[in-house]
Amino acid sequence: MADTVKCPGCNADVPAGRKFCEFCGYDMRQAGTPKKPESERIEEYKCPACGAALVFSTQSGKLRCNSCDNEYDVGTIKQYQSNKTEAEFKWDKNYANSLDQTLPEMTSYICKSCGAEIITDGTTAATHCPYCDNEVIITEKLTGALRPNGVIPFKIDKKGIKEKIQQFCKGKKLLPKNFFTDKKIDEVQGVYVPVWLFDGKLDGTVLLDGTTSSSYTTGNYRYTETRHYLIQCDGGMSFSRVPVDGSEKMPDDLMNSIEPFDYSQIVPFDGQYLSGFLADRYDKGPDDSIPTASQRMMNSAVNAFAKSVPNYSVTLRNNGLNLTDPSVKYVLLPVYLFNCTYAGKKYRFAMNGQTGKLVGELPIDKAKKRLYFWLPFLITAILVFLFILFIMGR
Amino acid sequence: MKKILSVICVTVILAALLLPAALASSLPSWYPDDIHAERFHGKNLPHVVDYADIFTDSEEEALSRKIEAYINKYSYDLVIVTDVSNYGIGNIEEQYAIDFYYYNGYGFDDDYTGSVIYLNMDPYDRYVSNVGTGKIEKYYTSSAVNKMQDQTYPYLRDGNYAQAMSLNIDLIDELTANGKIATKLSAGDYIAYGGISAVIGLIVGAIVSGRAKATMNNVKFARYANDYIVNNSFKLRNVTETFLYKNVVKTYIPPSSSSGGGSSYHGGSHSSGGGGSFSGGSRHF
Repeated sequence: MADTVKCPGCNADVPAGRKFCEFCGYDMRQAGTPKKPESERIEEYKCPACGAALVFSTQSGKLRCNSCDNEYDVGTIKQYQSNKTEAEFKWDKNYANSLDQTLPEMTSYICKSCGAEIITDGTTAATHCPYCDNEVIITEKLTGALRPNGVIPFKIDKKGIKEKIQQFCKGKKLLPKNFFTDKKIDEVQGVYVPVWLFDGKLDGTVLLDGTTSSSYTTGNYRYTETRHYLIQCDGGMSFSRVPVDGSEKMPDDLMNSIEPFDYSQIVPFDGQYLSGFLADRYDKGPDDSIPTASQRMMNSAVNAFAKSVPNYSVTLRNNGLNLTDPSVKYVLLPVYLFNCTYAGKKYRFAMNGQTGKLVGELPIDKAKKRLYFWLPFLITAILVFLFILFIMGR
Repeated sequence: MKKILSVICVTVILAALLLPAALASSLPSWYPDDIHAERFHGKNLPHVVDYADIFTDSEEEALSRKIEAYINKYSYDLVIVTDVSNYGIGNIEEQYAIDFYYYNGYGFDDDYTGSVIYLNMDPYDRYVSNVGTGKIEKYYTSSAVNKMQDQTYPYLRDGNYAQAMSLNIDLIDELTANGKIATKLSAGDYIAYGGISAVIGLIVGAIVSGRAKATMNNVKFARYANDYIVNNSFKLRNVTETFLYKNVVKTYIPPSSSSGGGSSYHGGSHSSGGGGSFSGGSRHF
């Protein structure tokens, strides 16, 4: 039996005199040197094509798969093995310094039903919760709340809401007749929703799995060839004022749907803007909102990189983006909230108090829904049937 | 004695084997010596010529009456001819029918308008030919001939030749009157077409109602922050594309199937030996 030496990398028996371990690619010329710590050893790499273990080929200097005969550069495989798709960025937690602790004297109301804490100035009385429409009670003067960095005042008054609702109902073919009547619309509440605005620059390297596909026919067989690539994109982009609402009671999808706001109209906070309106006190701090903002930013960044390689179908393999210049601001954004009751069910609507964008889920008239299914069905089926008879009768 | 018997047996067997071949290799009695002879209008020609002897007298009479009625109605000629062999005439199956019609003086008017149905009863090569010429030639499209033979095929396959020919006369009547033959759909066809129409209707109904329903809710989570990208801030410094591997998937494509039922169609426009033009086709049964 030929003399062998133990590979320090994978503990396999390697014939003496070999420069590299044929199992893990370890440089056997360093075999006499002290064993490296576990974390620095050469890892076992798997073939991207078939998942079998790769071995180092001393002839080609590459990692080779003995199962499917593919060969890869060591560097490429190391990149390929990295797999991080989460949006985890290091946000500067000193944002508290940019937030003002002093808030003018406010009155706080607590909703008995959903627990929302509503604040307003001393002159405005709140009787119903804007989120669940139940009664609220006065608690005490507000203390310990942060002063918002800014506020976008309401631009649309309550009289303009009716016109927006009429526009919203246009083209809604399944809407029950007379759904939006004055009697059915519950009290419209103007609420300043607490929102965290995140700034930051993402920069670094994104690894994408890219595929291209082509097919051709030879004889009685169709061949579909899919080529797999590892795409490395270096670059970056800046984000400004990515909003995440700080209210647990305000549904995130509703708040997302009334975006965007024109942030150029943000003015410094003053208690007078709350006169006649309510404001929700944030119950979701910036720490809780960071994951949402990070994910939206990363999705947009990856999307921008993907668009730069339009010839490939891509998925994210590794997010190597880093966040720089992060900052957080606390603002109040104007939102009208109202509910409509139909067939015993409440439907909630929200309107951007600055732009008038109205969102919500409308009820569906079941008779109209049936009509919109069966009428096209019948017309199409009859026409197709007659067409088939015409074609077959020719 | 045994030797004589053996010789007789061998002679009989050889005769039995060779006689049909000898007959087949010769030409039918009506075939002219001079195939370039001038075309003529025959007189008092029979309209059912049963060389293969597959019709009874009453069947032959009934078919003749039906053909007479057709001729009186349209003033177009029509003849049914059967034979035990096509005698190897020409290189297409319709050639026997074409030549029989041409050389026997069938056809009305200057363009010799008319139809001929030929049944080749050769036990090894049974087929029906439908051929038309003159004013009716243009109606003998592949679609019309196919529909005609689709309907007569079941009767021919089952040996009901007179019924097949009676139906064929009716179909030629329809073809002459309308210029086409309506497709006869079975209950199964109607169910199948109804099913296809219903499925397409369901898809369209679902799309229309789905689109109407989609407009009723404009609330959705935002996954991107595209509205908040600072203008012109996206910088792409470098893109590297490294090929890893490829997969090839091989999918078998079955060859397109031919028409079933043991039948075959050959058709198109042909000429007789004398130069007349005909259209038609044939199908085996």
